[in-house]
Amino acid sequence: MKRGILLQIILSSIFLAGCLGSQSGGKKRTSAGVANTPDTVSPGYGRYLTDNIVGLSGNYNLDASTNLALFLNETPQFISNNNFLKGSCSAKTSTISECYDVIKTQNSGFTEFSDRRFAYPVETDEFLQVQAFGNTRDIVDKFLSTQTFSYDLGVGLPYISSHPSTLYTDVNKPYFFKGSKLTVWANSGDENVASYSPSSRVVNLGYISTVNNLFIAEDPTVTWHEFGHHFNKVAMSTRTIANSGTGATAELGSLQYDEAGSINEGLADYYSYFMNGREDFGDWALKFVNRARPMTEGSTIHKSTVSETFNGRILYPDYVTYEPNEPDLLIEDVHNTGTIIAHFLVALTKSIETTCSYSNEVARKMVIHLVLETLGEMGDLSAKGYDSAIESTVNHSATSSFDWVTKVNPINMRSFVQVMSKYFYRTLGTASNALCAGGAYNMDQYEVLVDSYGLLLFKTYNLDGNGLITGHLGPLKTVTSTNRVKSTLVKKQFLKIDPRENKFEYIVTDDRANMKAIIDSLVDVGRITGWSPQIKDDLRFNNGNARISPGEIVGIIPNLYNDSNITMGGVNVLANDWDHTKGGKPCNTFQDNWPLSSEGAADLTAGEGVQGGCNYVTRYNGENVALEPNEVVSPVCFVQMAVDGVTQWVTQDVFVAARGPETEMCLDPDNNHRDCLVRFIKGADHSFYSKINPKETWLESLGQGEVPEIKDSNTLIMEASPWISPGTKFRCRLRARFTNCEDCWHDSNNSDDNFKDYEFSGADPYEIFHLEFQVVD
Amino acid sequence: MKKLSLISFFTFLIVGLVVTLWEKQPEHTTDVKWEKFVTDPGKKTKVVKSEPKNDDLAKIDYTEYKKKTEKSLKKKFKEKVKKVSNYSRLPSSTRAYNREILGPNPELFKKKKVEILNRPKKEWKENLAKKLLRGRDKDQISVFIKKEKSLIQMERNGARYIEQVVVSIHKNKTGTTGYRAFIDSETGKVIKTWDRTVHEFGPFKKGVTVKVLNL
Repeated sequence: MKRGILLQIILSSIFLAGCLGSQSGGKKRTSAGVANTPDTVSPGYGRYLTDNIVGLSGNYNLDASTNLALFLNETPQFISNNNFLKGSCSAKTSTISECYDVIKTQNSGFTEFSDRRFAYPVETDEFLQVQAFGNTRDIVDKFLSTQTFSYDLGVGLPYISSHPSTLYTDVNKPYFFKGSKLTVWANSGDENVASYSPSSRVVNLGYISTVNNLFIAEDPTVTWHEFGHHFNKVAMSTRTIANSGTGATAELGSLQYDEAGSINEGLADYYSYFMNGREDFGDWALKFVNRARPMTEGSTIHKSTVSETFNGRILYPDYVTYEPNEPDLLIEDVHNTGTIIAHFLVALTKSIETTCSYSNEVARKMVIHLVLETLGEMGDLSAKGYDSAIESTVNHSATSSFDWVTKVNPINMRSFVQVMSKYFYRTLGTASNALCAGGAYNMDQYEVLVDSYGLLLFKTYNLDGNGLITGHLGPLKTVTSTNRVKSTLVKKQFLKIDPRENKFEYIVTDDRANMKAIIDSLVDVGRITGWSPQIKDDLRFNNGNARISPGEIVGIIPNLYNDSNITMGGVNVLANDWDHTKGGKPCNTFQDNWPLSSEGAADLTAGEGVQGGCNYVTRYNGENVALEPNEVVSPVCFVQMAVDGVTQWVTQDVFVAARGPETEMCLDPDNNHRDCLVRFIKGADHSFYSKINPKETWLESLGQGEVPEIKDSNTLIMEASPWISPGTKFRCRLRARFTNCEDCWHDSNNSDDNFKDYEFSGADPYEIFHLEFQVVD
Repeated sequence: MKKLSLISFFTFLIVGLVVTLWEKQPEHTTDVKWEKFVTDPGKKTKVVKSEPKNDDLAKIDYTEYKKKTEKSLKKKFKEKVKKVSNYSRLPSSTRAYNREILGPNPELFKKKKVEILNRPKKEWKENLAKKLLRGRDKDQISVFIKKEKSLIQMERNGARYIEQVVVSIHKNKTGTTGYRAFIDSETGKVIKTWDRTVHEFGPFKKGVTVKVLNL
């Protein structure tokens, strides 16, 4: 009997070993499970995993050596009628014959699948390519059918849709980002890399280095996530491309960390849920680097205090630095913040499903419809937002829209959810559309759900946009204020430079190695456009004394402090040009009441109330010479100069005209002499901070000690001309705001409607901070 | 009468030739070639252009490489140019010298009522590479540049000739990143970038540590 049991154990062990396989040598697995070889399928067919093996098995604890073949379906799936892994797309009457393809890596050619048989053992490169191809085809087809569904809703229902009417007829194929073909590298050989590059049109799937070289393409959820980035790009670009086939398209995220980039990540996660309704992302490939992400509070990845209840939701902004895999850490990262959006969208999906009696599948389509409408409007660089609108209805103007979307009035949690809520109201929330169980989804119910995530940060639905002419024309659809229970709004005045005793105001870093690393990184990713020819290539004048000296590039981080009792989220500091001067002198009509007349403030006795005046905000960001010849936006930094024996603050061009240096020695010798001496580098002239706890600084809120780790998105970068005389004093007037700010976005003079876009060229929507320094040798 | 016919014939011939040549101006086309730039050994400020190997080309855009090898480049390229340029859709006021004009009041350029802010130079691409490789050690990175089209940008103070390019940066061991950009046609200065690579995790993510000191 004992011998029988022993034999059984031995046989079971052999069987299990065969099933689970091994990964000796890293990339090899013992074939077992379904025999996946060309001779087992008909021409045109093969096998791939339609979800990752955690999803297919329901077992989160599978180890890295688990044999994928165990989870392949015995029944072959149709792959292609082509010998190569190339796919076409079609939507409505339009077709893109070369829509996507899959190759092994950047150096390889197409793999030829002889006799069109696509079944290969799971340890082969051929399998990985078929796997990536199947997952790509599935999500592209599903996306395009959902986009068509969304377009048809826009055409069929009497609401204002952001979809361009020419979405499927325009020669530039805006429904798929100019119809440009996407190539997937199924096994790029890049370590710990999964990326999407819209410029080279590549989805790069590498491998996880920590566990036997597990290939990322094995996990469809990651492939779907990367395609999610592509669909976000598609959605952001539809109106821009339909308007013009040439020029820039809007970005959803412009810094290493910002809320737009977080939304991009959250939406990309949601595209994984969109595919099959499964609520964890990356739970196969990414769990081995602690990067799997849940999309509902019910997930086992979460800490125990999180739950799918009103009080158990992951709340904005408290959870923006929450990493579910390491809940004790505070990590400022777009993927972590993005989970709030993914959770909200999944909760919304489930709510639509139950409230409107839809299947989960249809509810997911409905949510993507809302996302497409939202991004279509928010990314419109033609500045209309919908076909029949006049220019400047959204995103300021066609001339300035790129800067508005990325920097001046960027997409954040508030604006994204506000615009999405508008489309929710116009579709599911409108009874006459009969989209929810024959009637409307109750907007109070909707607002309560939004509020449970701390995202009910807007007081109106801003139905009329932010346009110069139309921005306050109404109608005004307001949020029921009693629905705002967990979402918190704070007055901007509570955001301060740390006022406490013996605390510093700004961090200045001028360490050569640090600054070189930051500058190189920013140039590589295209965030800054280079630096002044007056500064030495090797930053040799950077002396590391934490002061600003001639010839240096320095990083500046304001020591921001939250003087309120509520957490602030999405704190953003701007050092870009704005409308705050008159005739070369600083206006003192703003909240900072600076400078005094005796210190050189602009004369207010004449020329006020009209263009050029201090109390007139440029409607065109100083770009329209024909309509606003006297309006300019000015650099933030002024310089002190003795005028007739009196020390005054003047603009840099006034200083340079009086004291030099010669204009060819300016930081930009070719064009702009208005920031000849010091300037913030364009692209690094805005910075972002995830959250600030009550009565703390940002550094304290992130648990940063005396030697904090700083990301480039936290850093404003300033150049100081080598020709500045030591001792020269500068004062820079920075502007700041945050996402859950009560008076940074709402115009209390206009029923709490959104500020118009042009007003972000001025002072009203911001708290103003001063950075004063003396250049030292 | 014969003379008149001959004159007419040659006039048509010349006009046809001019139109053909005009259409073949480099500004009208999309570059098919990636150009690779690296820092010149021992000289951090000088860049050298190196002919990309097949592998390099494939790293950037396999499609173009494949098209070349399939010898169908010419035909497909023509079609692509037609698609990308899309001149047939543009009203005449939005292009000049075979460059599309971007920005407000494009007609001012055609009427020569606007200051020209720069003059195109053939070295713009080398100048751009110099800026991107500025201060970098040899072998630290390679820069690949591909021109997509030539344009004119209307600005507040005038009109600027610009080039639309794709830039791809290859760093040793840490993968690639890239973006699309407008470049000044004279100086090679980067004016605007977009279509930047999005990483799930990967290169360029690490922060730097700084000492906190009072200003």
